[in-house]
This record gives sequence, structure tokens and C-alpha cells, in this order.
Amino acid sequence: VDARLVALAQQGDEGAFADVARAMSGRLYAIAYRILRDHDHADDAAQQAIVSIWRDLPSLRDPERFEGWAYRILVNACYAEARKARKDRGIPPEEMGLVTPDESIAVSDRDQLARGFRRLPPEQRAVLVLQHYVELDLPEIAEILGVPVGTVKSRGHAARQALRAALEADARPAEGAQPA
Amino acid sequence: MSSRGRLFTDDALTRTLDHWLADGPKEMPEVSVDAALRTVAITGQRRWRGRLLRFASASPMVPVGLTAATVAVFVTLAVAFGQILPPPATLPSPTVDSSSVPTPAPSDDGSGGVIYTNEEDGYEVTLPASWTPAAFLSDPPGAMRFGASHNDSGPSPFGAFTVSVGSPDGTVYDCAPAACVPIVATTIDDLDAQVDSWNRSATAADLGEQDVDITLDGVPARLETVALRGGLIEAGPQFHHVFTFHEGRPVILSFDLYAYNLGRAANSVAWVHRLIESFRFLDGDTAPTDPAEGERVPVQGTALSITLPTGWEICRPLNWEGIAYRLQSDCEQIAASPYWVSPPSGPSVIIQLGEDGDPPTFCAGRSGCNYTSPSCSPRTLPRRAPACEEREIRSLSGLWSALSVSDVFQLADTQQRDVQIDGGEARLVTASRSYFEGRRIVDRTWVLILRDRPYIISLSAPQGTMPAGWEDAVINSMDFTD
Repeated sequence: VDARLVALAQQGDEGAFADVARAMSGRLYAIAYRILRDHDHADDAAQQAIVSIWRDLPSLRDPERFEGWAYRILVNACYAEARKARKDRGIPPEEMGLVTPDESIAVSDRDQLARGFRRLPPEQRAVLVLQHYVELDLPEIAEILGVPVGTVKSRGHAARQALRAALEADARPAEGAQPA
Repeated sequence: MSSRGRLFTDDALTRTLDHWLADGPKEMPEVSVDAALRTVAITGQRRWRGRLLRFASASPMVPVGLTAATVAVFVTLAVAFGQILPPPATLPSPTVDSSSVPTPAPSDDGSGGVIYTNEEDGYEVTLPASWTPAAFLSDPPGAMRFGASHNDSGPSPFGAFTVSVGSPDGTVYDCAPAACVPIVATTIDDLDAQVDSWNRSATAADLGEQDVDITLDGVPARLETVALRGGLIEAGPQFHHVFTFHEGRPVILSFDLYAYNLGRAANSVAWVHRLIESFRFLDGDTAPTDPAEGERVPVQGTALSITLPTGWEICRPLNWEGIAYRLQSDCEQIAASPYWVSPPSGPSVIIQLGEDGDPPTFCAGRSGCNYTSPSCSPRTLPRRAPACEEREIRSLSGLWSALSVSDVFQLADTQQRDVQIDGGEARLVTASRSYFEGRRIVDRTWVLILRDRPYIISLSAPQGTMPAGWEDAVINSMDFTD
């Protein structure tokens, strides 16, 4: 994103911000979808993030740091969306979007991974997405999430452990299932 | 054959995650981008309106005066923050084990404190001198983080101390220990429970919690201390929260002692109490209004007219409930959700009308999603006006019965008395407890009138937002034209 456009948008230039938003929108939506695993919620989170970025842009000190700053707003919007989804559905966030597995058929690694991922709390998902999809290093992730690097490490570790455990748990019934 | 086995190595899991996350949408729907930009077009930017008043720079033009002022400031701060004065009676001593946290120190650089004033959110607090607001990364509306600078990029991105002032609809951002998340609460218990719930899910550790009732600038509040057990940090109280409501808005103060340590400043639990002690709510922009100087308003379609405090406006007629006179923010809420009326967040006069006729009627017991239902949310909005029971109203007792059905959630500890309004009989019903205590709306008054048609008129206001007796002034102003 062009830092000059960001600087103009900071001064209230809506046209410049529209250019910035269109340039960023695909990235924002892609990240939101990968954290939330739901198109509607990702759409809501990305829209909310765009509006929040505009509203709070004057508080950004260095336009060169815009991208990380915007990611942080997006991740907060994703947390809010996950929480809203949990409240609306009355189910815990780790089960949000969980598809009831059909244990009678074999499932691929991809399906196992998807189900395991959906069981992770949003803040652990965010670490995985920022690390593996956005390809940020740990200090960058820590700054975006507003937590110490150690916390990022522990969340990433916990996520991978939980993912592995979930994969094993998913696999167990399949191992014991009788062939059709 | 299952290929599950290769997931059990770190490298294989990493490769699978990389490939799996790479797959998926990469473009935001154009219509969604357009919708967001339309919202941007009607959304103002949030400009920095907070200000810092540093004691030591109060008189930079007068060196001698500056020195004297600095000495005076040290004395003042020594009195304010030192061990000369005990904590105020309203603030209990820490309920935590002070030995498990770093040694109390008023300020590690000796330059005293800094008064931070946030006019936008309406509060003032004295910070350790080395702390600044963490403004370079955005926080949600109403939330401001404070911490010590420890590199060129400014304050710590995670706040040692966060003040979060919510909106009248009960939404407030919880900003510790990790990211800010919105919660919606109408009572202190609700705030406490939701913050605890979120923190449990965010920290992946057991939490040891202790609660104690305190006051925050004279307002009843709750201080919670939280210690992590089994997490990365296992060293006594880690987080402190203060929960309260001020003028109907939820307020959370969050303290993270781990961030204190990283920030090199004020690394003591004593500062938690000093920050609480120094916290002040600023007077609101909307001063209490004198009903005697209000505006005469005819109630549309009826013989009734009343005098409302100045500055009030009529909300759009409610589709099934009646007519509301409220402050503007509430009217906006009503306009947004015609069949879902959120609890009044400010002073309000709501008039429910019956139908004239022989006998007149009143539709009682609307059981849809309205503000008497605690579990309503925008996603459960009814699409049509909820059904009700059409009742013939022949007396004030019959109208009371209809009110009992309609407002059963609110009618706690009621008292009734018959009065005269503009030469006719009326009945006043007062409730000394309210479902909306979290919004500090404790007392509610209903006026039951049977004239040209049945009227049920509800008056309420959060504590401290209206002068005493405002309800009487509005009731006494009621006038009927025959």
C-alpha cells in the first residue's frame, strides 16, 4: 500500500482512502476468512475493519507501518465477530463452524485439519494464520496482536498441540469403524 | 489408506498448514467493499482529543517559578502518593498478597505524576510520569491504553493500564490481558462474568480470582484481582479489573502487572490502587435540564400535551408500543430497529396509547422481543409487531392489570397511589427496583390515565442525569384539551 495514499487518507481524503481500501480489501478478507472459516462472518469482519481503519487512521503515527496496524484492527474485528457468532449461536467459539463429522466414512487430512482448526479459539487461529498465511515473524505477530512474543509462541504452540490432538481424536473413530 | 501419519511431525504439520491455508478466497466481494466505503462516507475520523498536563512543564517561561513549582509538585505528590495519607475509606486495602509482587514504588524516575484528561470519554487519571497513552496502534472506541515507552516506536503495544468506557447500549471493550474484545453488559455482575469468561479462553490458564466492592470516584464498583495458575506466569496477582457503570455506561479499568514490569515504570501493585484512587469522572456534556424551562409538546393524535425538558426530541412513533420522548441517541437506536426497543439508556418518557371507543381498549402483554426481554438480540428481531391481548379498559384498575401484563419484568417492589391530573383521576405506580439497575435506572414511574383513551406513561432516568423531581414536573405539566 502506497504510504503517500495512507498519509492523504489520514488527513481525511476519502478518495485516497478508497484506493487504500480497495488495495487492501482482498488481503483483509482472505485473512478474516482463514481465521473465521465462514464467508459471512469474514465479510462482516473485513467491512468492520475497513470502517475502523478509516475512523482511527489519524492515530497512526507512521504511515509506513500501516499494514501491520491494519492487520491488528482486522484481527480485533475477527475476535469481535467470533464472539458475536458465539453469542448468537449460544455455542463456545471453539465449536463455531464445527461440522458434525460423519464417522462412517474415511476423511482426508484436509478435512481433519479443517475440523481441528475450527475447534481452536480465535486468538490461536489468528497466530496460525499470521504465521503460515501472512508469513510474519513472531515479533511482528506480537505487535499486531498486542501481546508479548512469549504469548505468541505459547499460543502457536498450544494451537499446534490442539490441532494435533484434534486430528488424533478425529481419527480414532475412523480407525475403529467397520468397513461399509 | 489414511495419510494421517505424516501429520505427526512438525515439518509435515507445517507444510500441511501452509498448503491448506493458502487455499481459499483471496478477494473480497466488490459489493462488500462498496458497502464498507459507503459507511466510511458517513463516518467521521476519530481525532486525538486527549491531552496531557505535565506538572513539571506548567511554567516553562519562568525558571525560578518552575523550580518552586517543581518542589511544590514533589511535595504535593509525596502527599498524594506517598505514605503520608492512608487510602480513602471507600477503597479497601489490597486483598492480594503484596509480597508476591514487586516492591511498591510511587514512581521510578522521581519526576512525579502526569494527569491525563480524556474529554471525549469523560475521565481523568494520574499516571506514572514515564507513562504515555499508547496511541500509535489503534484501540476500539472508548478504550485507551497506557504504558511506558521502552523503544523508539513509542509505548508498549500492550497496555499496562487500560481504561475502557462503553456506550449507553452496554457495549464495552475488554482490553486485557490480550486483544480488545467487545462485550455487552448491563450489570456489574454481567461485566465481571463476561470478562472472566473471555480471559479464561484467552489465557489458557487457570485463573484465581478475588472480588471486593470499592468505589470509583464515589461510584459503586468492583475490584477483581486475578492470578494465573499453570500458565506461563505463575507469580501472584497478574491482572486487576475494576468494573462499574457511570451514567449508564459500562466502564472497565484493566491493569496488567506483567506489562508493568516490561515497562520499567511503577512496577507495583500499589500503583493499581493509586490509579484507582486518582480516577475521576468528568461532568457530562449534557447538564441536567430543568423541566420548568422545557418545551410544550402536544402528543400526536391525542388530547394530551406535556412539557418536556429542553433538548429532548420525539422519536419516531413506535410501531406497536406508542410514542417515545427521549434524548437523541436513544431515538437513533429506535430508528435502527423499529420492532426492537433497547432499554432506555438515558432519560425517557414513553407513552403507550390505548384505543378510544366504547369501551376503550388497550393491547396488553406484548410478548415479543422488546426491552423487557433480557435475551433479545438484533438477530432475533421480530419481523412483525408482536401479538397482544386486546382488553376492554373500564377503570384504572383494569389499566393497572394491563400494565402488569406488559411490564411484568420491571414491576418490582411497586407502590401505587391515586392522584389528580388536570382535574381527572390518575394512578401513579413507582418501582423502587428495576430490571435496568445495571444502567443505573433504579426508580421507574408509570402514570395511568383513562381520559379520551387509555394512557400508560413511563418515566425513567439513569441516576444523576436529571435533577430531583423532574418526573413530578413532567407529570404536573400534563394537560388535556376536551
